Amino acid sequence: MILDQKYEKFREKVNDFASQQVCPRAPELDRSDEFPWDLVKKMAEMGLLALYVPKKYGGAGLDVLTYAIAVEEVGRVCGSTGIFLAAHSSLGVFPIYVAGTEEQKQKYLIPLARGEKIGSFGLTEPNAGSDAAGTQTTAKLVGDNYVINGTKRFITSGGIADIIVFTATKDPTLGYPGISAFIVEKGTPGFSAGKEEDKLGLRGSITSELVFEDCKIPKENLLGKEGGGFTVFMETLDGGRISIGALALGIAQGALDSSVKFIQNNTKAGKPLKKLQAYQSMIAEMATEVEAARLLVYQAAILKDKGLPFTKQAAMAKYYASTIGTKATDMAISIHGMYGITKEYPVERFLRDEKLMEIGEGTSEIQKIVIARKVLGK
Amino acid sequence: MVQEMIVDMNTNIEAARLLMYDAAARADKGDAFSSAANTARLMNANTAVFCGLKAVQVHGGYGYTKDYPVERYLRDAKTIQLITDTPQDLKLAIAKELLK
Repeated sequence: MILDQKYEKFREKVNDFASQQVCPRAPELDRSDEFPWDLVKKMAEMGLLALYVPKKYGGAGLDVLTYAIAVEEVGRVCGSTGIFLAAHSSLGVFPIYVAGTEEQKQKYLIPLARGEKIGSFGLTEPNAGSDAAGTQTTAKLVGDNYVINGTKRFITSGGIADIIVFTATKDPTLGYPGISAFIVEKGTPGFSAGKEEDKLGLRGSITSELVFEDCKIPKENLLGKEGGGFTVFMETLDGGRISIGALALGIAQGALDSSVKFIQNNTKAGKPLKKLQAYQSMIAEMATEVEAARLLVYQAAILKDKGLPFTKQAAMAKYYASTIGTKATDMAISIHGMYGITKEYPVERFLRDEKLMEIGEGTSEIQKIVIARKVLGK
Repeated sequence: MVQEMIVDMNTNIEAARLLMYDAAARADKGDAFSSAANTARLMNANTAVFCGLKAVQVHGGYGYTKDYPVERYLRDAKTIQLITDTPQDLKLAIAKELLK
């Protein structure tokens, strides 16, 4: 896709940052499970944490396409840093931007957008992943407070977030109409981050349980309308899919980059790998699929920027980019042979990181349901 | 669609097992078995990686954690797939045999 020059200039800027500052840190973040606070600070300084948010709310005043490019370029070298960026911008910042009152925006959106505070989004529960209607966390209005009880699981940045948007129901038997969205601040009595997940990949990203035990939050922390939680999280996930698609694309591009370099620089039985059809075939498939994924991701972003419906295209972008991403990263390891399964090359990390893209923010199975509904009609 | 993944995994495993037994039976009989062994090796390793990926997917978020063994199966499968011969080496060897 031929993009306006301003996007390519922006890409260069993020690419420089990613190559020079993120890439050298990536293997160590993966090995030590360390959270990259230093990189978060740098991304905040560069204005990357809320690219599509207007300047008056602390954002960069740019658009979703710019944001997708940023996630792609960071993801190309480090999935962990990429998922932080995607989760903070799409799941932490976005719900408050789209559903917050002016007061909530002043209080929460501005520090999140500036990167002074870390954001997170608590939707998934131990027994309600793909089926969010099964939310068990309860919110009872008692006087001027909501009293929250329940547990969230697999929450990206949950353990380090300062401001968390989450969903809870006034009655678990009501399904979607019972669910509302709320904001809770770190340190609120009765709220704590529980177990941290020990994961296959994205090991430099923190994934936590969130535990609410008679946690009182003020009435004004309701986000959106009472019973409007479904709308808030559907809109949030729609946008989030673009960023997960962008991250899947970035990781796949990283796998392709490493494979190209490996093929160009190595021989088999005296023959350059690039002259061997088996390698040509693999690289051609990867390159074609990565390019197609890029078009789908950018298309979804452009539709969202234009204010047009984009639900189907975002689901397609996430589904396709993560599917071909897993294939591309798997293939990249095979191209590198035994080197590919060592930490000398980034491709084994790319596969481990990429696999989450088929699971998080709606599994591929859920994306297919969303796409089929749009294609077939309800 | 979990059903579809389970069916696909099972079909591949059954086919891989038959290829492996076929190669072993040929070797036991003293027949030429190199092509059958390469085919079984290719199919079994690819099946292991395929099933590792699908198993993580079937488990969803849980499959991505060390609470379940499936992420380890995926990592082990990917390693075993590349020991001694890569899939591309095996394909070349099998093709050579088939086309000679």
